[in-house]
Amino acid sequence: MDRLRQALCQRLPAGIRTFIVPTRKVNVVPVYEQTPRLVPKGKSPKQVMTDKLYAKYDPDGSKRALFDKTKPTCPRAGDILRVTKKDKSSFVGMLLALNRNHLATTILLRTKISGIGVENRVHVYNPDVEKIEVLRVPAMRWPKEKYYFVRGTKKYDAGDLDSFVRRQNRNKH
Amino acid sequence: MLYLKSLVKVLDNSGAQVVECIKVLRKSPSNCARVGDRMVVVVKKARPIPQNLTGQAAAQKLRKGDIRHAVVVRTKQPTSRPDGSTVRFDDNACVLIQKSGEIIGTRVTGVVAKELKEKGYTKIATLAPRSV
Repeated sequence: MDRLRQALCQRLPAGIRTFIVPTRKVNVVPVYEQTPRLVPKGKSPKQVMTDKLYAKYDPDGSKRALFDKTKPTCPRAGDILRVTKKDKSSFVGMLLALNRNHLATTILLRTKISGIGVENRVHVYNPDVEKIEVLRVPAMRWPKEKYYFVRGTKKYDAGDLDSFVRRQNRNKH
Repeated sequence: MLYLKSLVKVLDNSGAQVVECIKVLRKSPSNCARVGDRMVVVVKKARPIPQNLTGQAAAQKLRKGDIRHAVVVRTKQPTSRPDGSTVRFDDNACVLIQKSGEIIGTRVTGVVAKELKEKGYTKIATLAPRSV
């Protein structure tokens, strides 16, 4: 212990103060440069993001125009729709339900292929979905938003819609 | 969603009409069979074998109580796809296969799911009149 004290004392030259002198402290608040606004003033961030995504996944606005609630041409349950994908495969079916959820909007189509009911749920804003078109609008509608009741019934169920399309094409020529 | 005791329709001309699942292969016991999964089945209902059919042709036809492997081709439970879309059929159906994976019958009637192609059952998908 004595040796350690001796070593420490040797380092400090005589006459040097070993205590800390208090310096004057100045309170300065740092001011940073303003970052650019991500969301314009007065707009909701959710709406801005949704618009951005719509512009990305529906650049020409055709899908938004088709599923616009205010227009009378908007597809409703009971209509017959055709969904064409980018690999040119298509699915024709009766619209059972349209589930609106911004970019996650889906449509549920039902048809019968060789006597078996087939249901396909498709995301409308999926970039693989090239085109959605209304083939037929029924003369009479049931006052229902969803057509789940047609499943398994003889009277109201969607028939073989592939043959319906074939018949329609034949009449055209 | 097919598990032990599920009754499934058969879509080929092997002679069986309705089969019962007794084991879902390569899955944990709590799991269920979906489209493209293999299972072991018992024939519960078979088509009557015509009397003029004799020899090897008659021996190949399946009878009630026969045990075979089967692959699920369509289910009532919606099958989800990588792009978020789903497909569901009105009934559960399977095609009977041998242990090697070749199908027992020669024909497949009715629509099947597209997933079979990716799971290695290309033959069934091509034999079927339509795959959705």
